[in-house]
Order: sequence, then structure tokens, then C-alpha cells
Amino acid sequence: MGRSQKCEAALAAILMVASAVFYQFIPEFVSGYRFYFPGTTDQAMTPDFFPRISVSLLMVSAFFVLVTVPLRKSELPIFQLEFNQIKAVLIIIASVIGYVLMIWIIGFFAASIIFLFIFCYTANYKNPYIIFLTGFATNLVVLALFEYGLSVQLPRGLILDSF
Amino acid sequence: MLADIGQAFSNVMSFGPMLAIFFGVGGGLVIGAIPGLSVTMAMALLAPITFFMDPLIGISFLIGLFKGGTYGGSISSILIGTPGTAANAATLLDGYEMAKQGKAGKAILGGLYASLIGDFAGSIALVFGAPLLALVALRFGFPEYFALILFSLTMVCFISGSSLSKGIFAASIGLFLGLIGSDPIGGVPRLTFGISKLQSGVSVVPLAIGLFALSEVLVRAETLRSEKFRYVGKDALGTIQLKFSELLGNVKTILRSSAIGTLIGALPGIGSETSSWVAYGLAKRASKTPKEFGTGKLEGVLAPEAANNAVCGSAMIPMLVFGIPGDVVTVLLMSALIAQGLNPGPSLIEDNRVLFLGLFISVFIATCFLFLIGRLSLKLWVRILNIPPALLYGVVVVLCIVGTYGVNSDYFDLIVMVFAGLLGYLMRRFDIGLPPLILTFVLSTLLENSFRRGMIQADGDIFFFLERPIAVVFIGLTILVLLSTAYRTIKGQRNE
Repeated sequence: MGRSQKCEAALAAILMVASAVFYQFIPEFVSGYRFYFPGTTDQAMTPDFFPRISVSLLMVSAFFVLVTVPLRKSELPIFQLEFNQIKAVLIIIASVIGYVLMIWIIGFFAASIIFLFIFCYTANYKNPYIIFLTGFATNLVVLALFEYGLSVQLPRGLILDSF
Repeated sequence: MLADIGQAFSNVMSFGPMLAIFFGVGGGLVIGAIPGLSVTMAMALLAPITFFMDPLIGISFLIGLFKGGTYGGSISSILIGTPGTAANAATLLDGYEMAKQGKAGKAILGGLYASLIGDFAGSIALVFGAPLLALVALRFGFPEYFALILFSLTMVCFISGSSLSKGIFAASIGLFLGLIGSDPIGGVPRLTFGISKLQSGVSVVPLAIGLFALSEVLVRAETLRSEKFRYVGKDALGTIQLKFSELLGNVKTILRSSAIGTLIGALPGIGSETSSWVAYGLAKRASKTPKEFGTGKLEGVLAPEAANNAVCGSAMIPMLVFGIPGDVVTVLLMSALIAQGLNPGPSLIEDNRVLFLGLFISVFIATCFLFLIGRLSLKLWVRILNIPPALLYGVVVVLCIVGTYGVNSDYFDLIVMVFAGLLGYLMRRFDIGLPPLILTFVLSTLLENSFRRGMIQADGDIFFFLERPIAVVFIGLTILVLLSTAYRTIKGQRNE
């Protein structure tokens, strides 16, 4: 087995064990699960029945992945990625999370322009005028469509809201 | 009835719906033409906007977007050899070869005409098939619904991704996410992990936007930095001419492919991607010169294009009649209907007759707009393909945020969207298909409701499900699909 297969098998095994453990604890995550529909006492009537089915399916699928891994020869796409590609994805993920936080603090419109700069520079597109114009135009379209057209107020941010 | 048709016609012919269809088709064409921006992504991003519109305007817009996007994907397939959507991958084989020979204009025109015929066939199936099937669906009880949903979900697992086990994995994640919130029978909160916002469940819009738009951006982010920009010159279209005799000579292929697309679209779980490959394969098999396929043969463009557009109309049939969407695009269309207070089911069309007659008319108007915009904007595509991808994907992320926040004005939805984006990215990179997840998520409540209410009806006797002939047929089909897929998967992996 190659690196990809070993990793896939290990993940499937972890998932199988985790699902088995979670299966036992599902009733803990259902408030008042002892409620039964009047007139019936069948297990299918309890609210934890379907969550248990979904976790059982997870377990079964992980088991099948584990069994069929040795038969597979192709490598998973995640193992074909180079370090630079993983780095680029991580930067974009961090910038998206930062964007959501920025919206909360400085509002949607300013945050969108800053985010576009970060995204484009990460993706190696470095024309500040075009990036600014695109951000400005996007903001205008969103403002016209959502705020004026559909009466949806986009977040102004903690700073503007405090005034 | 005639009065209703007249009323529906005048409703559609007014300014709002016509503008919505125009922008829907035009927007779909543009988005479909840009590689990486799929019709699914467009629907996920733009469906929330329609929640605030009049149903006729909003749904007509989405129908236009669906049709325009499905055809639009063929443009980049032909011009730069990169399919705009997965449904246009088969078009690439001969379309790109034709472009290399200086016949890109001919291929795009041929694709447009084939798409129009396919689209028309699918629309006819929708208009006549949906009301007829609704009569049958009225006889469905809880056991039949449960068996039908089970069959649909099995089909989705069967068709998407590289293996059945991964399809089941995605479906179980979707089922788990769909069960978060209140129990549909007793109203008991479950799987909320102490987060009060989860008591009303996970919304479909942030989940769909994260899974299909944000994860696509993350996938593209891997290569954006190193990607060489491919400039498409003005002369890329070559000769823009298609003789009527060339189209007439291939009419059999177009009609056969339209029929295949219509049939496949009406089956739950199989989308336009499969239909275009099946149509291409059959066209090749029926051809007198099969060896010419893949070398720039017009027939190789016409067959997949007719089939994938035929799916647009017929895919709406199971969604409207049973409330069971066939693919991801119809999931989003169904969400838009539900947001408008229109719950899909057998009596939906009858209860909202004027509205649905209007929508049926708008389906045909969208086809006419597809012809007009597609024919007049040929030279525009070259410019659109020259937009820097980094800029484009940055704007997509901004639209992801707006689309998600716009529905409930809730920050929590943004967190769900980002989480769904990460989940979608990891699933794609582990070669796990996303359609089973979203379809199971959407159907989870209906699945649980029909099973548990069926059990209540039967006093807890599970064999009650086997006393209903329709349910037995669907359960039998489900077992058959599962067994054949398991056999196919193991055989395929041994041959690898």
C-alpha cells in the first residue's frame, strides 16, 4: 500500500471507531429523548433513532472504505498537492475567516475591498487600481441590489454602529 | 382553464418577469462560460436574492439561469478546452478540436441550436409530464414516499464520486446535518450541542453556498498563483457559419440526445453530466464514422449539448411533483420555492394553477431568450474569457458572503458557510462527491417524517412497508442498485 492508501485506511479506521463511540452517546445529545409517541413504544418513534441511523451509515461507509482501500491504486487528490498549493489554500482560508471577522468590526463594504486586495495579491494578481475598481463596483452593485432593491441591510460593523 | 392560461400569459408578459428571464438567461450564459464558475455555484449564490421577489419573477429568473448556465458551459469547452460546467465536459472532445481547426464559431452555433431543441423537449416533458405524474403521486402515502426517497438517495450515491462507500459517507453526513434541530414528530431539540442557533436547524443556503461556491474557490486557489493566463484572441471564433443542411443532417442525433436527456433528467439523482456522456456515447455508437469522433466532428458537439439542456426541464418534474430534487440545481430551485411558501408536492400545481401556468410559459420564453442572447452575443464570449481569474474568484467570495448573510441577516449563517466551504474542500480533495450530501440533507426531514409516520400508521410493524406494491417496487430497485454498484465498484478497483 502506498502513502495515500495508508492514510485513507487510517482515517477510515479512526472514523469507524469515532462513529461507534458517538453512536453510544447520541441519546445524550437529544433532550427529552425518552419521549414516546402516545400509543407506541417502538424504538423507531424515539427522536434518537434517525441520528443513530446516520452514524451507523458513517460506520458502515468507513468500514467499506477500509476494506476496499487495498484494491485501489489511484492516489487521492489531496496527496498530489505541493507545499506551495497547500500554503495558498491555507492563506485563502485564513483570509476568508479574517474577512468574516472584519465584517463584524469594520462593516461589509470596507472589509470587502481589503479582502479583495489580500485575495488577489495571494493569487499573484497585483494591479491595485483594477482591484480597487472591482471592489468598488462590486460594493455598488451589492448596495443597489440588496440595500435599495431588496431592503436587506448589510453589516455596518461595530465601529460605524457605535456612532 | 382557458381563463387561467390567459391570466398566466399576461402575468408573464409583464415587465418584471420578462426582465428576470432575460437577466437569468444572460447571467447564466456569462457564468456558465467562465471556467470554474458553474451553474450550481450561480444558483447557490443567486437563489437567496429571489427569496425577496414575487414567486413568478424569482423562479423565472432561476429557470433562466439554469438554462443559460447549462448552455454557457459549452463556450469555454469549445474556445479554450476547459468545460465551464461538468455537464459540458463531453462537448470538449470534439468542440475544442473544431476550434483548433478554426471552426469554433460553427461549433458554438451548432451547440446553441442543439441546446435549443433539447431544451424545448425537456420543457414539453415538464409541462405535460408534471401534471400527469401529480395524479399518480396523489396516491402516495408515507411508505411509498419513504421508499421513493430511499431509491433516489441510492441513485445519487451510485452516480456520484468514485465509489459507493464514499457516496454513502457523503449521504450520512448530509443526513446527520439535516437531523440537527427539532425532531419533526415530538419537537424535541437534538444534536444542537448546546448552541441555541442550531435549534431551528442548519439552513440550506449557507450550506449550499459553502459546499459549492466557497469550496470551488479553495480548489482553484491551489493553482491560481502558478496558472498561466490564457489570452483568447479576437480571431478565436474562426468562421461563424452553420449551414442548415449540416444541422438537418444531424437531426436524428439531436432528437435522440434530447430524448435521452429528457428521460435521464426525470430520474431522481442523475443530472445533466451523465446525460451528456450517455448521449455522446450513443451518438458515437450509432454513427457510420465512429472513428471521427474526438477529431472535431460536429455531431460530437450536438449530442451532448442537446442532452444536457433537455435535462433542465425534465429535472424539475420529480422536484415539483414529489418534492424530491433530482440534482443539486433542483435542490436550490426547491429551496427557492419553499422560501416563497410553495411546498413541492402532488397538489402544488393544482393549488397554484395560475402561477405554475405562468412558470411553464416562462420556461419556453427562457428558451427563446437563450436563442436570442446566445446568437447575438457570440463575440462577447472572447472578452469574458479574458477576465483575470484571481479577480473573478475574489468577487465570488464577496458574493458568497452577501448571499449567505442576505437571507436571515445572521452572522451565524456566515460561520456555517465557512464551515461548509472547508468541509466541501476536504471532501473534494478526498475524492468524495458532494451531491449525495446536499440531497440527503434536503430530504432528511421528509425521509424521517415518512418513515416514522408510516410506522405510527402501522402500529410499529415494519412489514407494513412491504404490503404496499409501489413501496415494494422502489425498495426492490434500491436493493438492485446497491448490489450492482457494489459489484461494479469492486470489479472496477480490481481492474485498476
